[in-house]
Amino acid sequence: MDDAIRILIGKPGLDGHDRGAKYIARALRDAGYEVIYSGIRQTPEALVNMALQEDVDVLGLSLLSGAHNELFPRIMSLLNEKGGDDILVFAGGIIPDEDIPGLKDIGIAEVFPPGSPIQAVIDVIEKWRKDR
Amino acid sequence: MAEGQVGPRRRTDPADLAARVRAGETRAVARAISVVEAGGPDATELMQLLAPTSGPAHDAVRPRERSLVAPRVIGVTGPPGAGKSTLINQLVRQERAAERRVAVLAVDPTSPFSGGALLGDRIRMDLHSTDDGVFIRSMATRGHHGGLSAAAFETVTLLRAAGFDTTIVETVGVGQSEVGILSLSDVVLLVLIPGSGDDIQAIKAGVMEIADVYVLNKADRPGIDALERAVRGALGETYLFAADRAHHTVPTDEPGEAPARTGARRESAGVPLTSPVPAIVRTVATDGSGLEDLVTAVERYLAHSLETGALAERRERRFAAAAEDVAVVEIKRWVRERHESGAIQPSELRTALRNALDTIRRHE
Ligand SMILES: Nc1nc2c(ncn2[C@@H]2O[C@H](COP(=O)(O)OP(=O)(O)O)[C@@H](O)[C@H]2O)c(=O)[nH]1
Ligand SMILES: [Mg+2]
Repeated sequence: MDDAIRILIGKPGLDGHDRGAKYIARALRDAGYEVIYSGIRQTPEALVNMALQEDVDVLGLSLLSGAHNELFPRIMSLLNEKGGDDILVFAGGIIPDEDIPGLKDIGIAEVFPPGSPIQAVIDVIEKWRKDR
Repeated sequence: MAEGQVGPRRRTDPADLAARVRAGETRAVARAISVVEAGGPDATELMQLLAPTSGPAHDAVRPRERSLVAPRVIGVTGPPGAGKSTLINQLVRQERAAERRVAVLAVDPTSPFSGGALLGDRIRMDLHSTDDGVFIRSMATRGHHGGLSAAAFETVTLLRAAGFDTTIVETVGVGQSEVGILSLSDVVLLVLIPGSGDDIQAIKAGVMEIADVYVLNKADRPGIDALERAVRGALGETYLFAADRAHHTVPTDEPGEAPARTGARRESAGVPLTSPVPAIVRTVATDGSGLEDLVTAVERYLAHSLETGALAERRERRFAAAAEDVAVVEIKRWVRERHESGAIQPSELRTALRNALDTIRRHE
């Protein structure tokens, strides 16, 4: 593919349920992207290292444990610190509505509630690609 | 997006990138691999800049490499699910214990349906995700404008320039281009597991010929003895056959002779039988048993092939293999383009191609 976008689907936090993350990973693969899946229970440090080594364009974070307000800011600041500030970051999982503005403030492009159609994710990626 | 361009993010100047690769900066190494994968003009410039000590042309003749076993490239191949990634996780651990910096290049197939790929090897390599001395990169088989073998070759070259002592390449080793990647390796490990008769067929069909060390993984499972017998049986046949052929041998430098890899093939190529018969090692990658034996087998193979000159020979062949890959990819693309603007006769193509090559020769 001429323009293979690389995406890391990252699973930070302690919850061990990754059906959702794997579903997203497969769906994005089927949409023609090169997708790397991190596996469960990754620290922010490990995820940021993966994103940088894999030179991904997009990082998708999947979290069910409710620790997003601690983990996501840590991930975003590590990304900025290590030169990964040009990576598009989105999040999915169980995240209360009232937390979303705060997450967008720290640079997370979009937050997808459970059950979001995969097309919504693709649209965000493709819009970002076009705007570059 | 235009061909040869890297992702939708900002471009990095090749000179800047090359300097940072040499300094071993992770972000730069990662970006440089993407540049090489895209195969555009930036890739050419980058690889030229990295050439003086480690570029393709020098890679073949770099004297330092003739006297050292490191930096080295270990190829790991075998069927899906054999435990290659799990085994590499353990190999990396051993390399780190020996204080070597390690890079892993994990190649997975691109889906023929969507053009996308799901690259899951690093899930099994999670012992090392925060170790600065370990760099892991996943690569899909397609999407390489210069060809997969060339992308892998240049990636290995730049990983060396970045100071990695060992590069481990994982591939499923089925397709032609994946076998091509294995030719990058100083030593090839073939991972097999008990209980799948298919493996033995694959072995006999020739995958076996490329291996220097046979890893019988999942040795905790029933059927491991039968697997070892089957492998020894198949190896015995290969060796007998090759030894037999050796009596009707061709000169060493006969063009088109297969690379001398195993003892038997060295002999069949008219070279004295000096390489050891490939080692067979049992492992349980999930708990690390057998890993010391495996590392010993790899070290012995490398030391031996360094001594006999087989290592230098192999390294010299890499460049030719990658160069041929590039040529084939470029010509195929040109042929496709010609066809898109109307079907053309093979003879017509031949003439056009020969004329073009003549022009190239005149400008050399
Ligand atoms: N029982 C057993 N399972 C293993 C062993 N090595 C790997 N596995 C498992 O085999 C599966 C496939 O392993 P993976 O490394 O992904 O295989 P690959 O596709 O060859 O890279 C995983 O579930 C591993 O945990 C082993 O020695 N014994
Ligand atoms: Mg694997």
